[in-house]
Amino acid sequence: MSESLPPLTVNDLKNYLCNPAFSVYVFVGSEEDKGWKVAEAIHGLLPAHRIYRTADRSLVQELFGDHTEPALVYGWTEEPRFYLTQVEAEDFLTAFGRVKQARGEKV
Amino acid sequence: MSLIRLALTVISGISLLTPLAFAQRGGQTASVGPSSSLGQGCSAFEQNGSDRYPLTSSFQQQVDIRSNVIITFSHLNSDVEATEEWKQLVSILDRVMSLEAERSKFDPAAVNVADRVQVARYYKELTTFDDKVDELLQDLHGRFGLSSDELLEIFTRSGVSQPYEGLILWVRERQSTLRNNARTVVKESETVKIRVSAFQSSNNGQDKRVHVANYDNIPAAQPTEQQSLGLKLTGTEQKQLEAELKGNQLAIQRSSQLVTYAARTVDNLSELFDSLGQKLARSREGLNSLAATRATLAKIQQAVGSRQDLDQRRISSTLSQVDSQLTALEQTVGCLDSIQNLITTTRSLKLSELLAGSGHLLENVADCQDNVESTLDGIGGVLSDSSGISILNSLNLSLDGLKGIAKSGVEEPLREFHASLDSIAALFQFNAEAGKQLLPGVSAATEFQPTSSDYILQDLPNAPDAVVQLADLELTDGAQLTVNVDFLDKTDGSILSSVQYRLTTRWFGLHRKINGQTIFWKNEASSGPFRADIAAVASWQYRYRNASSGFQRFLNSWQPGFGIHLANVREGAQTLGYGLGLNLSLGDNIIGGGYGWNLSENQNGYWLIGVNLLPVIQSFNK
Repeated sequence: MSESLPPLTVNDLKNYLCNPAFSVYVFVGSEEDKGWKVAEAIHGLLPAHRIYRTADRSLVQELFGDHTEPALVYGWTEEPRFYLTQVEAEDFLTAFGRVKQARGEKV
Repeated sequence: MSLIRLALTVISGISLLTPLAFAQRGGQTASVGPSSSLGQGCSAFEQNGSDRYPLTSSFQQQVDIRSNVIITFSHLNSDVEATEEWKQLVSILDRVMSLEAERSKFDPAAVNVADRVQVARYYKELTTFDDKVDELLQDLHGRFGLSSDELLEIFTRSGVSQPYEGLILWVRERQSTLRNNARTVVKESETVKIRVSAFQSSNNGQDKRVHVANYDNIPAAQPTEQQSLGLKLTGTEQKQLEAELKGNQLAIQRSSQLVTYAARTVDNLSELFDSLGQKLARSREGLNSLAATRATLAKIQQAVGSRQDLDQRRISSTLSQVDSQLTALEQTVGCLDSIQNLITTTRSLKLSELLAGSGHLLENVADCQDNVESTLDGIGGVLSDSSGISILNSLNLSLDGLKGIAKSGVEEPLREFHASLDSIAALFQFNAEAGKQLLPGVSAATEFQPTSSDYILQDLPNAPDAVVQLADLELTDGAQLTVNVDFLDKTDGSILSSVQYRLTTRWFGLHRKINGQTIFWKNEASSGPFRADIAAVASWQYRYRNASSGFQRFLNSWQPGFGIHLANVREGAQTLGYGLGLNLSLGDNIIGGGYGWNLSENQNGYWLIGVNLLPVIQSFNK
């Protein structure tokens, strides 16, 4: 599932994070960004993986805290696993490796 | 995306084809020449027992040191489906279909998150699935040379609804390209001959030709047993070890000289700076005497000023010249003063500037001296009457003083300074020189095969496989090999197209590596410093053929190992002492540490740190 904020809210997102059947990837940027295309490609390859995008960082500031990176990787829990820099988020193999690593961690 | 649509994509793939910039990537695309399609006329693979691994010309690849490298032209007879690349593509296609089918079976909604056993099983299945996808990506990256961006382009191409569909289209396009190229090559092949040659790179930059079965008359080497785990060395390995031991011994001597030389040069420079500082201080004092000289000149002007004859004009003209020379001298000493300040105050040593500056100043001082001497002679010639004699004597004394300053106070220290700067430059070049001196030993070890220019050209349509039997070449781990395939015009012999495979030979799996190292060792009971010596180190380590996990990649990158060493450890007045002990190594046996016992003298224990300086020095020189 690939969705955007808005119309979703950060509370919706937090609810999704509570579902341990899915891993989650949050991206801050536009729909045309290379980093979002990477996220979509990974989403298409892996089952049980959700991706969310927002162009307005303030909407997900609560999740990112002080981090300024554009991408946030969750495994099966609500704990953030990796913050990806723009270069990492735009490198398909690197981003895939991070998602796989987060999903491979024992819960 | 349903399976049905995916299946339709596979079946009708060719009809959906659209050109992709990267569709030309793959096994044999790095060809050159007027007929690039000819370059598609061959494929290469590594055969190791019953295992086959396709080789690409796109980038440097690692091959097993015991394998055969085979270039095949069999698919020229429309047998494109027999090529390794085709088989790999079919395998990719099967895996994609299997992954997509498996993917659609996962149903997160059906997972009872309250059931811990069920959730654990769910995660395990997903992890296994993720590993399979990762393996597929690594194969596409490693075997087909597809970069991150190219993979992204495949997975997100327009017109497809999901990544697996994009990948299937790419495979079908690649197959189509291979088939078309094969057809073209078959058509062109009637007029083409093939030449295959193989070279081993050596450290001295001169490649050595090695035998290619069916394609040259170079006598095949006699196969020798090459142990992967035992300590028995082949002839080449022995030579390499000897060269490394000699090289490391030489490096120790050179390092010792380097330290002594550097210390001596620093001392000399320090003395020189002090000496120059003192002498230039005297120069500054000399500048004060210039003021007195000018006063003397003014008196001469005054004395001859009232005379109305030719001598007066000549004297005035000469004195004017003297004045200008004094001004020039004053400027020169001023420059020297600045240099002195630069050296003694700021200590900012910009070697090139100082070299250039000091050379220029030397010329200035020499010119100035010549001018002063000729001017003095000129003045002596014109001032002959008694009224000016006493004044002339005074002027001579002043100028002689300046000459003395110029000669002894400036010129000599500057020359010394020049010499020291040359020494420093030599010091900086030392490392490169040392490296060059070490290299012939290593390159000699790689000369194992006579060269020959006898090629056997084969007709393309029926060209037999070209085979390079690596095991017979007594190569060492890390040896560089190049295999060239040239497509020649049958009539004039010109090269129509070429393909080059660049290979690095490796031991895969558990294997031993034996190297010479420089060791820094210290007797366990001693409180003295570490001493430098040499050791032969055997290390057992593991290299994965296709590293897929992070741990495997880590192991391949760092190549940790465990082994033994035989060291030369001399104590006191001993001329020879052998030590034997255990080692841990890192970086493919380049560095390591261990513990051993001196067998020759007192069986004292010692610690050691080892480093193979040859690859380190060679990397500096690249």
